[in-house]
Amino acid sequence: MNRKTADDIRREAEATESDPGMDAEFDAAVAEFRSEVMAAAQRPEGFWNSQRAAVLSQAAGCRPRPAWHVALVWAATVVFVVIGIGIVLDRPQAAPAPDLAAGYDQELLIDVERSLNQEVPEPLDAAFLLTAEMGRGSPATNEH
Amino acid sequence: METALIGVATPGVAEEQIAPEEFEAIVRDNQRRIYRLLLAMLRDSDEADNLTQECFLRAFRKRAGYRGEAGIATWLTRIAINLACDRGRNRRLAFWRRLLRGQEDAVRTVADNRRTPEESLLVQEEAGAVWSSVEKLPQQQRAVFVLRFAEEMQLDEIASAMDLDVGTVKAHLWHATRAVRHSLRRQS
Repeated sequence: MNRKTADDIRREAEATESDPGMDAEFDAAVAEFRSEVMAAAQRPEGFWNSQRAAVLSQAAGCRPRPAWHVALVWAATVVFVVIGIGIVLDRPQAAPAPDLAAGYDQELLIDVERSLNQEVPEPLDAAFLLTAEMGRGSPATNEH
Repeated sequence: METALIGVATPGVAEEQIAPEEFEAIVRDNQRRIYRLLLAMLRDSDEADNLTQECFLRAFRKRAGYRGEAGIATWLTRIAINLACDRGRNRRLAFWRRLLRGQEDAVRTVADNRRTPEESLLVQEEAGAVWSSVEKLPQQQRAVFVLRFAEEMQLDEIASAMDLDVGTVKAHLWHATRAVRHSLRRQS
């Protein structure tokens, strides 16, 4: 893309600004532009009066709100807050969570008691059963 | 002179001090200048009228934000420029509206009796070229160009009204002037 460098722009600006014919033309055109703006902005007095009246009537419509209005808004806000707090406090309390630790302790105690009541420790249950079975089977074998 | 901005109207007036009757005086003192500025920027008399009213209403609503660092005239100029820039974002819509209304040339031109008819025609064409090229400028360049050449404000006044550095104003003015010169050169 053919982009102008800063030097190009400066040279161009100098060339433009150093052209007396161009300066005169520019000055004349800008002066005419200014006088056209001035002329176009000339309006009859009635225009300015009605514009001013429109501004003032609209400004009157956006005056600050009266004190009672502000008080009403505050009162409504306070009522809403109080109702909200009441609703939150009035909610039914949830059932207490079960004490899991106490349950585990109880289970452990039962387990220990069961183990103490057994004649044989639990890990030796299988060996005890096998021995008992062998003991029952021995006399039958001897009968043959 | 009406175009001298700073100090035209009651600089340093604090927000609470803008009483209704004082607001009316502010409108009266500034409405012509604000209208002219908006007309130069927008080239549409109806739009300039609407935005002039909007400018004063916005000033009235936002008077709490006016701290009095700049004159009221400068503050109003800033509001007017912002409104014109906001409106400029909808230029395409405005173009179609104008086209439908058939009011492309909303601005009246005046003939200068000191010139021959041919000279007047030529100068008017050049002024038309200035209008056209100003319309095509980016918002800030356009505002700077209009404030400098239509309102004849000084660079520091423009900087204050637009809340810019003087250097930035100079840069905008340089670009705007270059664009207008190019436009005039193409025409001639």
